[in-house]
Parts: sequence; structure tokens; C-alpha cells
Amino acid sequence: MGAVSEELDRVQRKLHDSAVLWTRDELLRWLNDGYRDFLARSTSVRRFWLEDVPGRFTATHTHEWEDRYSTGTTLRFSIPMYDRTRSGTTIWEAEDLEGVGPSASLAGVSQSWERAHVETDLHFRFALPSDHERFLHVAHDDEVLLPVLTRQLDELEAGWMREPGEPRVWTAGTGKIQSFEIFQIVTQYHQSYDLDGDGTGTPRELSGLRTWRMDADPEVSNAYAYSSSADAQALRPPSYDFLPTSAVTSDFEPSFMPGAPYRFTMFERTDSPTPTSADSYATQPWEIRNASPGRILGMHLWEKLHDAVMSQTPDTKPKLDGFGWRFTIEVSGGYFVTQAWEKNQLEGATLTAGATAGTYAWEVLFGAPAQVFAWGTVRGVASADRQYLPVIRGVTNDRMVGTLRDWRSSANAISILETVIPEADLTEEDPADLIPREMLKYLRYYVWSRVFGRQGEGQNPKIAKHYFDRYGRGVAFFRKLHDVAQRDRMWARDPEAIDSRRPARVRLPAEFPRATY
Amino acid sequence: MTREEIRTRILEGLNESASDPSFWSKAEVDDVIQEAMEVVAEEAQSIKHSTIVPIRPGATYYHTESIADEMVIPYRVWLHHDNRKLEATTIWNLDREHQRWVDVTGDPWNWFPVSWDLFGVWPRATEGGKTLRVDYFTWPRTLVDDDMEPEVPGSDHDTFVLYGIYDGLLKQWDFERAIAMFGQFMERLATYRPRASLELQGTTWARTPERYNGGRFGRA
Repeated sequence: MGAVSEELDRVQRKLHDSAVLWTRDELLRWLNDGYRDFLARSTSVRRFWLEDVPGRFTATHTHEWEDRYSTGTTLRFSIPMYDRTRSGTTIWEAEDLEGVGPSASLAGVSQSWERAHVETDLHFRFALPSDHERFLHVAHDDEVLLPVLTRQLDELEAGWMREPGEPRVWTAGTGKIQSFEIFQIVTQYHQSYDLDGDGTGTPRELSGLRTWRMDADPEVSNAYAYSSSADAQALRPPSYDFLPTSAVTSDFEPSFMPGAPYRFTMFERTDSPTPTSADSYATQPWEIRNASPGRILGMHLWEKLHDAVMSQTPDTKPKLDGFGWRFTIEVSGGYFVTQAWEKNQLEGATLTAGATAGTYAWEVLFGAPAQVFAWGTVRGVASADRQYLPVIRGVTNDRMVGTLRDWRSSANAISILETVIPEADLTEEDPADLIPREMLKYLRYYVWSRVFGRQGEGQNPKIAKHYFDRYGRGVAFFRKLHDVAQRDRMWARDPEAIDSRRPARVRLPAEFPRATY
Repeated sequence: MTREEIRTRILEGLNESASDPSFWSKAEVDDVIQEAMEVVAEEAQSIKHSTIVPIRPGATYYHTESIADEMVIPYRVWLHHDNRKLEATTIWNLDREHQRWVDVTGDPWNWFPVSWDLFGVWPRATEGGKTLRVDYFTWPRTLVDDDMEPEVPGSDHDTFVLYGIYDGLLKQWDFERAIAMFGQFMERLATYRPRASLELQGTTWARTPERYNGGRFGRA
């Protein structure tokens, strides 16, 4: 899909204006307004949103003003009290501030997961992302939760917000917008997926209760193998443990040296690592024409710890090119073994038979277990038992490129089908990918309606209304698309005839006493 | 009519030279013709295509883009190997009938909408080997050269001419005439819609033979 700039070009072509009357920024703002309105009114752009139970928040805070400093979901865990001049965490604090004798209170918590350990008055709340527009379907562990009013739960006349059990209903609750609550509450802590590695990079290995198998196309072999995590740390920058492997004085020596040699000398004419023609090597400034005072020139990186100066930044990348593989099995206690029976022995379990262990993938030809390396990025996950559905969140769909950043499951979790709006305004370089390309013309109509509706030169209310009506037809059409099955349903009047006749009036005898109300 | 013929009529309708227009470029008019085709396809939902989709083991949801890029809306899903149609339903109907409908497995019997670009089948299959035939309405194909014709009956090609003239008048800021022309376009479209529906064409309409007793009962 083309960028927004192409649509704005088409808008300007009809205005015969080079951004004098209607600036480009103005048109872009109107286009973003139309985009947001189009999605909100049509309710056709829908996504699944899954939340682990209890709800997770990007940040929790004690005062309302703090939420502007968080870009994600927030929860105010404190309780405003004393004419909202104070924030407390327990009910007795409010009583004490007002000079009333405090009574026993439940614990205050700052995160919902703390319910696994203490009972609290904090409502069991879940936060929604900023692009959430409307609920369509809410379920817990794939069983539907019915929507109810908070008032209906209050009629239970019990502490419904604290009552543990199986969730059956959801309600808007008493929190701010973009949040909801469920009843009954789940106090056990559950997390579907845990991403190692501080959320950076891309997943390379999956483990857990389920059995995972990786398929890579094409399959690759490792270039080298190592036996322990210490090797990996030494080989991976910025480790200096192995590098450089030797120090040399001139540039022709490395060709004779194995490993990762490092030239520690300077060039005489420039006192720098960069040579000029016909230069020679030196270690001290007094050897060179500027005759500066001497210095400690290091031959290895670790000498920096002793104030040595390095003549140049050594290449700390491993001289091992390609893909490395740790071929051993890790055992708790910091051991790395090659055979399963060694692991059994260390763990005190029943010994299992040994098998051929390989260090390179090609050794499968000689009986070693086949190795499929998870190189590249995950492009699909398939199972006969469940579906792993890719969901795009953000400003644009961008045709599902990039890497998976978030893994969630509906098992023992909340799953929501929601309509969404754009998370942020589009720039001219962004494509409006949340809607089909063919719908972009309706955003142009919206912009034109705002252009001609704006007070000032060029204002024309009649044509502004015409364009807005055309935009409205687009909204109505796109709204039909979310019900893709509506053309396949059989629509028929109920076969049972509706009896619209009223019953005959009762005729009382003439002498019957007059009825009064 | 070919794209070139439609473009010629549009430019002539705007009092422009068809071979060497000055106020419009040919590419611009071609874009308007494409837009006109989209509008007609959206209003009448007359262009139909079909495709075959293998049933994916474990899959409940199917992205329409993974089936066909140009899909507007599916209108029929047919289980090819069993020779039967999947009945349309909704997530809420499934909730009423099953506590955990996502866990039910077997050959699909129903399909349901989720989003404009996503629909589901139920139950979900655990094995492959069968296929779904998905019939859908589509946006018109792009006319890439002047010899291509739109995918609508020839008698309705003048609808695109009316739209093109309407759009040209808008560019001229001749708004009164443009709105009048748009009215003509919509009238034309109103006659096209029922003719585009072959099912309606084959239908006969008649009053039910049983007399309707519209009178009320006599007084007791």
C-alpha cells in the first residue's frame, strides 16, 4: 500500500492549492481525524487482545499525575483520601486522617499478583491498550464472560471485588477508562509465556509444558561448537577473555599468527594507527618527531586496567565466523555434559543409555541426533491442537513483517475481541494499513469535507456536505465488512404468525357494581 | 468498453480533447475509472471470485488476505470433500451452544465472522487433507492497459463514464453540476444492483395464496 503522502497529493490536486490556503499539516491532521473516525464508527477493524491473570500493568503509581510519564498501561494502587489531598494504601489511613479511630483493614498492594499472598480491597482490574475502542467478546480460559453492570454486582451485597472463584462475568468497574474488572477473581498467579533476554532480539528456543519442534528452511550447519556457557561469554563481545590472542608490532605479522592477533604499535610519522606512505612503527612519542613525554602503550586489552593506552580499538569480534552451537546438556549446578546418563548420574536419577553425541550438524550422517538450528526469525507456529494466530498491533499492519515481540495464550487468561483505532497519528510516510487500500478514497472525501467546510476562503458548505455524505457511505459499507457472513445468512420472517389482535373485552352484566381504580 | 473508450467518453463529456487533454492527465482519468469501478463493486457487490483453501490442522481462524488479496467479503464457504456448505453463525451463537466451543474438534460445519479480514470455522479440524472452497465478492481488478475491460456487463459501462464526468466537474469546482451528475450516477447504480444479482433475477414474487384475515374478532 502506498503512503499517506500519495493520498494527500490527490487531495491537493483537486484543491488547486500549493499548501497556501490549506497547509499540508492541516490536511494530514484531517486525514488522521478521518482515519480514527472511520475505524471507530465502522467497528470493522477487530483484534484479539490476551491478558494474563492477574492483570499486568506497565507501571503502577500513587498519584494521578504520574500516569502521563508512562507510555503503557497504568494502575493507581493508592486510595485518595482526606479531600484527595493524601494518598494511602489501606482504609484505616483514611480513618486516621479524619481523626476517626482506625479499624482493621486489608492489606494494600501495588501489583495485582500480590493477591496470591494477601487479601486486599484493590479491585481486580485489567488495563486495556490505548488503541482499544470497544469490547465485542470477553472470555476467560476460552469460556465466555457475560457483561454486567457494576450496580448488578453491588446488589450481591458482598465484597464481590474480593471474592475468589471462577470468573463468570465482566464489568466496566470503577476504574478509569480503558480498564475493566471481572467477577469472581482469580488469585493464583499465571503467566503464559516468559521472554528471556530482557525483551531484546528474537526468540531462538521455546521450552515449557508443551513439546516444540523447529523446522528451518533451508537448514544450516554450525560453523563451530563449544561446550559451556563460559565459552559463549568469552566468545561474545564485549568479553576480553580470549581476545586478542597475541600482540604483534607490524601489520604483516598477523598473517603468520593464529587466533586474533593485535598490533599494538603506532605509526611513526603520524603517531596514530593510520599510516602514511613509507612509515615505520613506534611505541613512544619520543621516538616520533613530536617528542612528547612517554606513555604506557598496551599490548592487550586487559592492560587498560593499568592505565595503558591502546593505539587503536582492537577488533574484539570473535575470529570465529558463522554460527556457533553449544553441543552439551546443561545440568543444574553449572555442569555441562555430553550424555544423558551423565545428567542422570549428577541428578541421582535412573541412568539412561548413552547415544552418539555430535558437535556439528552434519554428524547426523554418522548417527548423531539431527539438529535443526533456529536461525532467522520465527515465521509461523503450527499445531494440530491449537492455533497460533499472528496479531498486529500498532499504527499500521505493515503486512506482518518483523519479529514476534509478544507471546500470549488464552489458556487460563482473559481473551478479548475488541475494535481498535489507530494507536498514533500517521505521518506522511506511513501507510494506512488498518483498512483496505480501496477504502482510502473515503478518507480523501473526509478531508475534502473538512477543507470545504472550514471557514474562510474556499468555504462551500454544500460540497462539504456532499463529500461528508460520501464518507458516510464508506463508513456504512465498511461496517458491513465486519460481518463477513451477513450475505450467507437466510433471512426470513418468523414462520409463526404474529397475532396482533387484542383479546376481546370482558362484558360484565348490567347490574355489576361499577369498578373504580 | 475498454479503458481507453471509457476515458475518451469521460474527457469528451468534460469538453476536453481525448487524445491530448490539458486539465487532466490520462493517468488521472485512469485512476478515476478505477475508483468508479471500486464504488460500483462496493455498492452492488457483483464481482464474484472463488478460491480453494486447504484446511489447516488446528486452525480456527483464516485471514482473508491469506486466501485472496482482493477479497471484499466471503459469501459462501463450501466443504469440498464432503459436498456441503458451512452454515453462517456468530461467536455469540457458539457461546450459547457450547461452554468451550474452541476445544471442539472435527470437520467444520459452521463459519463465523471475526473482523473485516478474519473469519473462523467451527469445529476446528485436527487433520489436513480436506479443502474449503470460498466464494467471495471482490474489488475489481486493476485495468493495467487500455485494452482491458471492466468486469461488469457492457450495458453498465456508462456508469463509469458518469462517475468520471462527476469527478472531473469536482476538479473544475463546478459543484452544482457535479452533484447533479452524481445523482445520475446513483440512479444508474440503482438499476444495476438488482440486475447484478442473478438470484433475484430468477425469483418470482407473488402474494401468498392464503387470504390474510385483517379483521378483528367480533365482540363477545
